[in-house]
Amino acid sequence: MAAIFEDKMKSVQNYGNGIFSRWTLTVAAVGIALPAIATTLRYAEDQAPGIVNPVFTTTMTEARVNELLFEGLYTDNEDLMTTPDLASSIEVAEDAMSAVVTLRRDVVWHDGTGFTAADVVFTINAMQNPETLSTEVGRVEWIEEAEALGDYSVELTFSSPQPSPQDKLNFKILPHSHFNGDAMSRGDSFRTNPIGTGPYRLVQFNDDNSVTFEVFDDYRENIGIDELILREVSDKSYQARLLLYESLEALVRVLPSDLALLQNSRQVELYPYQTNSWWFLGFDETEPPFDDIRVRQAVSQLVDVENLLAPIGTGEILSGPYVKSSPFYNHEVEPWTRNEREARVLLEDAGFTQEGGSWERDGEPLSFTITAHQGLETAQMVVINLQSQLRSKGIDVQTEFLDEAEWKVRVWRERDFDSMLSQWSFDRNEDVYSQLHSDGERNFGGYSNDRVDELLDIARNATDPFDKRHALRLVHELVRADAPMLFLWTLDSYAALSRNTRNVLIHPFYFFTYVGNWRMR
Amino acid sequence: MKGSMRIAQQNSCSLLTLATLFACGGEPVAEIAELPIGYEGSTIDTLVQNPSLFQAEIQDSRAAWVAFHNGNLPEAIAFTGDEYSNPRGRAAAEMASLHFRLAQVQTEALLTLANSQVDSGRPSALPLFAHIAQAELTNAGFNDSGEDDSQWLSVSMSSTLPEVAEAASLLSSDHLGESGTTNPITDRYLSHKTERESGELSNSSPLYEAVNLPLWELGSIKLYDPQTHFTFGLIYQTEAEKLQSSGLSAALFSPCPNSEAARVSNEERQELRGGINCADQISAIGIDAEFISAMMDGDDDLQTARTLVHQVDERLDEWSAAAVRTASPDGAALLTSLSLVESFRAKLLISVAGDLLNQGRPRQALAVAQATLDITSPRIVSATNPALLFAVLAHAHLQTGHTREALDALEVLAETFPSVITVDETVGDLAVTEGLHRIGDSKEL
Repeated sequence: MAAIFEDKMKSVQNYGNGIFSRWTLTVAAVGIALPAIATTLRYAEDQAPGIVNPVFTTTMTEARVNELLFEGLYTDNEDLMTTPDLASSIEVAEDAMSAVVTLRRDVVWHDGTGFTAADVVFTINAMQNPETLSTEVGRVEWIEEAEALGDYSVELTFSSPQPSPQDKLNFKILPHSHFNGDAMSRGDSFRTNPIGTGPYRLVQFNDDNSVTFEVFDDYRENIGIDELILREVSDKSYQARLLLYESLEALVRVLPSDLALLQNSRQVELYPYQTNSWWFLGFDETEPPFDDIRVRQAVSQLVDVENLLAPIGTGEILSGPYVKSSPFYNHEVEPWTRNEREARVLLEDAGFTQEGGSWERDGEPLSFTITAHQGLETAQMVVINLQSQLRSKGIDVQTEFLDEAEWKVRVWRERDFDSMLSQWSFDRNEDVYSQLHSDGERNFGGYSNDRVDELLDIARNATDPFDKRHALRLVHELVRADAPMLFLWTLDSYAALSRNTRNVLIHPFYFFTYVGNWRMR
Repeated sequence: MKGSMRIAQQNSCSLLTLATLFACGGEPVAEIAELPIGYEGSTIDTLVQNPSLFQAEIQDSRAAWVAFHNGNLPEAIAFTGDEYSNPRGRAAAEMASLHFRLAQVQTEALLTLANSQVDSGRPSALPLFAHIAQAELTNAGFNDSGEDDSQWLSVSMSSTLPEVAEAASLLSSDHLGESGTTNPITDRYLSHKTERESGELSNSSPLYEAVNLPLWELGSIKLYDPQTHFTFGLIYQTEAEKLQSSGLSAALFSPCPNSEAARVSNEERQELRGGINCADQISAIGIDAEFISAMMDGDDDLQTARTLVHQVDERLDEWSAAAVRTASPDGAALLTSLSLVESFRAKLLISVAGDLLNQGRPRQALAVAQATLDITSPRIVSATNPALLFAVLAHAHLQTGHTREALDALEVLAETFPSVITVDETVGDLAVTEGLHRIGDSKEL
């Protein structure tokens, strides 16, 4: 309880500072001068962003922050149609091999300098630069060259015809003047002093791991909420209570067990925020024991997935890399189910024998470590349960939980793990290319299947919806059989906001896309 | 603004406060309480005070009513025999609403898809299906845009696919069914006609046997029957009209607050295409008529719709309190076990959301439908998440450009209603089309 009261005191201080520094006078109809009250929205994330630079974004937390600070040439309007953001128009060449993008002239960066074509060219080149090691390089690979035609015009040439390039021009643009050279580095000071053109600017990282954003006064449109505060609340079970005690105004993802509590509250509004996400246990195929498909399939058949899911919430068990409502989900493919007899056959085929209850090969036990991210909600419960299930079947399983920094080094950079428990979230395109293509930058386990690569290429370049759908349903079938990961489940996911926050519309993936229209009562 | 007053004769110890505890077991305590607007004489009021009426209503048809209450409409309809006519008729009416809504979703998705593929150069039956779907929409009275469906027919008649060109030619002639030729598209078309004319629910119909299968396939293209849900809607509507109920059986588990409102709704059913609609009854439960009027005069603004739901919830909280206060012990048990207030809320708000959709207010419809969903079990059709809710959600998502999200709602229905695959696959094709030129984004956690 003490923490809650402390929190309220902090919020009072926040309001105090905000109010007195930002009061403006308005003349009411009756002729009395009334102060405009500064409004603050505090929202909870499980963890603070590890890095604030869209070129190196890996987590949903970071993607949501990007949406506050940065903008792309194009974005989604409220009906999810592509609409100009930093661009004002585009002219696509007849052969669709190039386009000229005209930029808005009324955009300024948070440091007051003007946004120009040089920023667009720099961002594309830096993302493509191999030295940058961008996690987002796949979003600009289709651009062969970017050239500034004056301050407010950019010519893009493409490696293949692009009849609707604006649909791909939603990556965030960064200010060239804040970087040295043609590449970027994760260690650049920009990560803590980000400068964007978005509706909010980052004011500071606070000692309690919260982050304060303030409305950007020179933003070209009227923004409804003056200040946003991202609060790291790593104990997820605490988040709903903070919302009910009015120490927060928003939760990005409600813990499933808190849904009933919040649904019954008349102070809170719940919004679906599904993000097409799924949990998985990924295997490192480049090293024993998971370089052998039989071991992967055997482990997949020794896990009772329903039993893993039951304690953490309601969701659906999956058989492949899509959620069940996806147009690409292949409903003819069944999830792996527990089948000890089949698992035994597979392990024996792979050269293992069971001695005294434990599986071993050449005198070495079948042993591996499950690595999980500390920030993954309820991951600990799942990992311990997995460990217990597999140990009871004679497999020696260790566990480790990494913080954000360790995770990025061990998993993203060095790919140093035996198996990993994590969750992928997808926008509505549900593009699994980077997770499953042998060239994919998120293919941590080194999965490789030529046919899957071919189908993913077909899907990515498809101009026909039926061909794309057909290809990806085949991918589902093949990937399930190859078992590069054990696909687990998708959870029902909701955001919760105080009813004092009005006009709320949540983007199904980026969340804050329409935050400028939100208002507080 | 408050409703009528009632002196409640409380003698249930479980409901007593400390001040009245001493009276427990003794003389009944007279308690004067205001009743919320619209509550007195409502179905809930009637049931919690006189639960024997409920027992009398359902005693011979309990299993069918249980299925109906739980949202399992196919099971409720499957009961035969006169004793089941009330729940069966009610289920048929809800099925009609459901299928007409699904028909609209499928047709709108199909037409958008067909428009997007006009320049694709890939021959298919899509234009012909668009023609059939648009004609259905017009015939059913859903299409008041005055759009002409003949363009699709003329495109189809010059199709390079003989089967498609032949079907288009037959459909445009006055001699369909007399040619003696076998064409899968026109054969199915004629099956629909036969089924509709008979007005019967025949399990041997090809419509049922083939409902899960594409009607037309070529390579990766699979197109599903665009008439399925129109036909089901019409047949269930006929069934509902035959089995129209009255009194308590018409109002029980309905969106109407009382029997009189249900009676009026039943009379208007033809116009409302199937189901009971009591959207207009939100004013009868105390929602300010001026607020509703201002809402309908204003923009399609989602915040106003959310405020409407908040007001409905406030009124129904008062209803809950009144029901608890005035219920007999058996009535209190009914109130809880049947989630009377919660299921009434769900059905009333679905009526409102459906009405908003019909009036071209998809954002408000979406806001109301989302606020209706019982998210403690969001993937299950139930008393608080009726099937129609998911169809309305899908329709509102589709009309607001959230095509991918429409699939989330349809996925829930597919578990209970196999024919939903026709809609699901069509909307899925559209969702894929909309993302064709995009590069997807993915993040961890």
